[in-house]
Amino acid sequence: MCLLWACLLRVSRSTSCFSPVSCSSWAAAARRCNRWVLGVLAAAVAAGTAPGSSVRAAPGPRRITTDGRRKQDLAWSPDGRLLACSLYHTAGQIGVALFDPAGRLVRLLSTDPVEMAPAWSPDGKRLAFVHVTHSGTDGELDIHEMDLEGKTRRPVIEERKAFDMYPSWSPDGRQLLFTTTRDRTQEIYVSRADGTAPRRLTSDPSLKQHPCWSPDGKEIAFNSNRDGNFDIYTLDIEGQNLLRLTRERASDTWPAWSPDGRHIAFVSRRDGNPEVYVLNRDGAGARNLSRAPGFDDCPAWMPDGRTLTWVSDRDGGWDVYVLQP
Amino acid sequence: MLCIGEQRQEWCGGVRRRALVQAGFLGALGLTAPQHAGLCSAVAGRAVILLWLWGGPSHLDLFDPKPDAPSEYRGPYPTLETNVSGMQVTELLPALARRAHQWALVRSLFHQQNDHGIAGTIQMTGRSPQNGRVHPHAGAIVNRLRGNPRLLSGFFVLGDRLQQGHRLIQGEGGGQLGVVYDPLRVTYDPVAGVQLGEVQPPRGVDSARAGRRRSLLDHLAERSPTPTPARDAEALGQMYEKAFSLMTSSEGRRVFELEREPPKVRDAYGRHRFGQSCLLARRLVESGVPFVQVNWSTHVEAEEDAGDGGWDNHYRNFEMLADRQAWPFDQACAALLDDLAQRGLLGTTLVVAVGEFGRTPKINPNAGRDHWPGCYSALLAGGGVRGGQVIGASDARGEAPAAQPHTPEDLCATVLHSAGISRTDVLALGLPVEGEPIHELF
Repeated sequence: MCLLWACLLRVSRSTSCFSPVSCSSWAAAARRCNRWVLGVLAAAVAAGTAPGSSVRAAPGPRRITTDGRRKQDLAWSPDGRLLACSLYHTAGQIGVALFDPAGRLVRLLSTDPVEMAPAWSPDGKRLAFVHVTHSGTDGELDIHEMDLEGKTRRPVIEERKAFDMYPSWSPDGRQLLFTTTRDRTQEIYVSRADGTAPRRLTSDPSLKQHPCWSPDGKEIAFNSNRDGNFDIYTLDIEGQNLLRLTRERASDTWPAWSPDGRHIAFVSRRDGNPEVYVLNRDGAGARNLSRAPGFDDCPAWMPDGRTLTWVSDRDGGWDVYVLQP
Repeated sequence: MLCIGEQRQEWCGGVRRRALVQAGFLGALGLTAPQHAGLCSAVAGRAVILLWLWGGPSHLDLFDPKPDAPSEYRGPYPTLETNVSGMQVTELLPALARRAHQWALVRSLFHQQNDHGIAGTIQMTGRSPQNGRVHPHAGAIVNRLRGNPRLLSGFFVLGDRLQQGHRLIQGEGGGQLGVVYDPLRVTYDPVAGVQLGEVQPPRGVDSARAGRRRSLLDHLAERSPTPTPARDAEALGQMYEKAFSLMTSSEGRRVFELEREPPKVRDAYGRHRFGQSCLLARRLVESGVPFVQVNWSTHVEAEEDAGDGGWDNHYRNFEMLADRQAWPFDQACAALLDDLAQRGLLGTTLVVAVGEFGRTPKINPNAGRDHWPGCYSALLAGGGVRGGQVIGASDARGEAPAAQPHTPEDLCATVLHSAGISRTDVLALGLPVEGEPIHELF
């Protein structure tokens, strides 16, 4: 019986498809073809994508985490040394976690059952995030901030009977962008960094998600269904000059502005499944970067401006991949 | 209280099944060896897999899109043409859209109960509780009438007892048929794997010790101040005999060993709880179990509401659907249909995906949708159902049936009909019958 359960446990945890089996399969294929070159290439590919490997085998996204747990809301620290995200770490629990660039879990910051959607302060010392307060089995979503140890915490946006989400610090650290349902529709607001002086930027009955700042702090990008399905829009920080960037008959969501301000990465279902796309600032030149049949979402640029990161289930689990487009 | 090993069980008014099961060390003996030997004959039987979408999924955002409704109703997810001309779902179900020839939709279900618990009871039993009496679950009726006597149980639930908040809901058991027809529960955890739950042997209890416990159990049962009714006692006795005779057999446990499946198959279902539970359901049906219910979640509530991912999306409905709910459902349900079809089981196995109600067509002020029993949808496939068709229709905003309205009682009667159980069969059990099978499906 012990053997049985040990076996069950082992198999249930082996969610990676890059197991020794896959390596040996490649080798077997090479032998059958009797082409040693193919064998060498196959081994290189398998090794390059194995957990913990730093070898880049071929052009294409490189996997950096290997635990396979669901991750969302990726955000790189300003110095590029830490990746914050929402991590589904235990059954029924979602917390803010920090990973290093090699994909190793540095620390789980959340002790409460549900905390998520972290956003870095520009000085890299604090994280704003969505905090859930339970009353019975009802949850209320507010925005809190904490230090990188998860010890010093304080509420920033607390509006009773409203759901506050998607915090995003302005590039100068003085303002906070977020969505809220305080007006009985989901609207985008901006406030001072301490949560005071909230100001409404949008006013229409559509849904708005994932607002993020342009690097110069003059505009925001977000997705909304104001014209039917979800598309990507930009808006200046006074709530004027709305510009629709995508016009597909499929959802476009999760905009992420590149550090140089020239591109916006986003998630599109135009190919039938969620794929990571990038387009130019004016909405032209959309192209698919992920190109996998499964789920690719939550894009985030690294601070170098040349590397894009996202979450994909292409290898069975939910892991973080990086690519230099 | 009766204390058996690590388990403390009530001992009043008869013997509780759970205590007996654990005392009897039914551990891990879901199925019998002879049953496995007779696999071919078992496969020929009819079966039902109920994918229980607890919490109430939004019909407008999945099965019944309304692209022409006002923006405050239609939601953000565009329609997706399926591989059957004229049939549409939303873009959140791409895998099922490619297999619409295999499944049918009923878009005109309705009832009047806005409470999860009561609505769930009605949906699973096909009847409202009457004077405190809860009707048997459809699976219990199937187990009673079509259960293979060689099986330990003909009714499995993959998941824990359903809860609404902190309250357990009624209607998951044998009702008037007796506890013998309650389901056996097995759960799947992505880290720990298959958990046999109430049939798990207590730690440190080997077969010799189990034998002594069996003797003690017999002794206690004889001395019970309120003897178990004769019919139940006989059924329980048979169950124990089967279990004990196979206590040391690994054959009976094989059905739970998902690692016997090729990794490709496990990946196709998805390595998440719902996906692997659907795979386990297929294995159980293949082994002759006539009714398996796969619970999407234990709680109606999402993680943000102290739940475990139920479909009760009063807020963040559109994030939950896209990020956590639609894709694993789409993946696992499509894989289940493919797998059953590939094994020649789809013709005899009815797959039903439904929750206890739909959700408000009008989006609420919290960017969510609330409870809506006035109109909702069910997906049905296999078991004689003709795929590629839509039965009934909702009105322009998805608020009420516009054609061919059907009730949960009708859906329950349809499930029994597909399992080969007639109205007469049910009446012969002394149970009232409500609802009519939806014959247009077949």
